[in-house]
Amino acid sequence: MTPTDRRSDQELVAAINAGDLSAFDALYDRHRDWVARLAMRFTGNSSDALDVLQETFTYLFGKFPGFVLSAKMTTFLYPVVRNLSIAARKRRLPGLPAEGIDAAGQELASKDDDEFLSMIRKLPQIQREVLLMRFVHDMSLAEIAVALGIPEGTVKSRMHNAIEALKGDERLRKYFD
Amino acid sequence: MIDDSEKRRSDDFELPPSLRDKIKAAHEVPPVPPDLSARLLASAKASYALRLRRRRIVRWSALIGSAAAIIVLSLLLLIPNHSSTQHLAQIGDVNHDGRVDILDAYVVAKAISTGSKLDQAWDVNHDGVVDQKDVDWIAAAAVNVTGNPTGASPQ
Repeated sequence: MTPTDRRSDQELVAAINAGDLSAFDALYDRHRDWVARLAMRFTGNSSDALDVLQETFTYLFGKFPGFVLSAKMTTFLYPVVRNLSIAARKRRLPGLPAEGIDAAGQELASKDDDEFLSMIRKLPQIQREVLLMRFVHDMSLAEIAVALGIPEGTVKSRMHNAIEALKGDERLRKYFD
Repeated sequence: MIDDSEKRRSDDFELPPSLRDKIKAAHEVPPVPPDLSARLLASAKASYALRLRRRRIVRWSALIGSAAAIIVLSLLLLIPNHSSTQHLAQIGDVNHDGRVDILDAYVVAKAISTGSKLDQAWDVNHDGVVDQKDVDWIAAAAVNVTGNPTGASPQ
């Protein structure tokens, strides 16, 4: 792994466009784990998640030279990872509907957190999505709005309803006391 | 639909730290294998270098093509246009006034009749001598709009 690169994503993009191949490493190291975590959540298994990771970065790097980053990198990558994950799931399970994709850690079923995750999975998909984008993938409300293509007010509404639902779950009350 | 302004306060969108940590921990993934990362980056860089090279080739080809077109166009504009009329005008233009007319025929005729020095350039029919035949050739060229003397073509 390369030493921490202090350049912003915009600066790294500009460097790559200018022919600086080392900036590929910095950009990849910075967003690799984020993409992997998101892909894992969508696909539900590490094999597909790694495939999606490779496809995501292959897609991103294929846009150079000439790529223009007009939003945050995570905002740009979110729909890419999502769509590639949908494709991966269709390959693995052709009959699965594309909408509502959220494996929510199928491979983690054997862990003690299964009950906890089941509480999260009880949330409606649109609420669960914004909740996990905020607290697992560290995206701001504005970024979530752009990534999902919905107004920020809608994001806030869904977030509020999701948190209220968690508060209303007796098994999670201990966290809010 | 938001009908309570309280919902909009960012404080409502925070979770207790312990719950937040638990959600995050439940979605942790194993580290990405280093060899996979290395292969991915190597492939991306190689593809990018190839695309850069191709772009440079296309750009240089376009520049060279444009430069060649400019050079060819410039040469075409600069090279004098020798029409058949101008060529014949040069042949019969004895007095070098830019055209072949009866005055040119008169100059040659007068020189012949007075025994003056004859210019070999006046041998327009290329028979080796400057004589009345050349006068006739120039006179015919002078009256012919196509520049082709009727019945007086050089032998």
